[in-house]
Amino acid sequence: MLKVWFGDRENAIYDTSTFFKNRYEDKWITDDFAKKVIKDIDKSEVIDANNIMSPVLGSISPTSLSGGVKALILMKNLPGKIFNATNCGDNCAKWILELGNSRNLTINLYHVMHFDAPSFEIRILNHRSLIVHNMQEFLDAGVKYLREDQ
Amino acid sequence: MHGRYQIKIKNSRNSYSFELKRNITVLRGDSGTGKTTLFRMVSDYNESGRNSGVSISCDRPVIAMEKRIWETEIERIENSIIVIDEDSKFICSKEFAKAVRHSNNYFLLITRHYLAELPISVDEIYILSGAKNKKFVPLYHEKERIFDDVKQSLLPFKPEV
Repeated sequence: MLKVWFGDRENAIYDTSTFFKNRYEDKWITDDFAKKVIKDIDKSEVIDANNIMSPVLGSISPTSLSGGVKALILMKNLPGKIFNATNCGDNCAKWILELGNSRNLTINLYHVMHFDAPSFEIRILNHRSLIVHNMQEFLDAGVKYLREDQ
Repeated sequence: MHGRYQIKIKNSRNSYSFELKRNITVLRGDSGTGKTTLFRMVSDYNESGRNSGVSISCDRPVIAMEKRIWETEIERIENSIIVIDEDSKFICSKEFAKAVRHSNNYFLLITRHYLAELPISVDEIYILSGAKNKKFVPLYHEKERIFDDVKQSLLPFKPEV
């Protein structure tokens, strides 16, 4: 299940780009999930673990991938850690939902991400028992807990 | 600083052309659209000037803010356009809001954060549009300002989600 904590959370990794730069492994880049998200979000092709072909930037290393892609690859490969998903655009939301459907995944958010799905199940950890099922409920929870956090 | 500033930033692969009108502008949107590339190009230019291969055209200096030393940098820098990349958590802080209030710089914030402390206008929130030649496009196209002369047809207000 996908679990969301709105606002500051102890032990969450805020700067996912720096964490990715220092911790990524070659096999993370060449697996099917990475190839799909790199193609979908960065419109780029993985050539090998050290070489990705971007239509805009040319040949790049994994450290030049977009912040959202890096965060997604971290979520996929280090599911026990909590990553800041506010580094991800709304075009990453469906991939976060997919990861949450296949395992327990906890993310940290500082904004209300738009999940473009008619229904879903997301556990809001700011509340002891809240599960939201659609964007209206998610928006209500996000507004409430982000304001409390500020 | 007051008024509008046209900024053009380019290298051989990318160009950005946009205008800043107020002291705080927010750039957000989908991942992979080139937001961090813009920041890195400004940072490269700050490091090496024209020898970086980046060109910047603007009436004021354009500066990529380093996270680690933001407090001293904001005090030191004047009458400039300061670009701050996402992953910069300090922009949520009361200290940053206070520094912005007392600053004569313009700020371009690359962020999706909910920012309760900063007076951000909905008119100055943009996304990037374009492939090689990128422009700032307003995120919110339809705005009904609900104050003073309220249109009764808008009430009760229910945002479309």
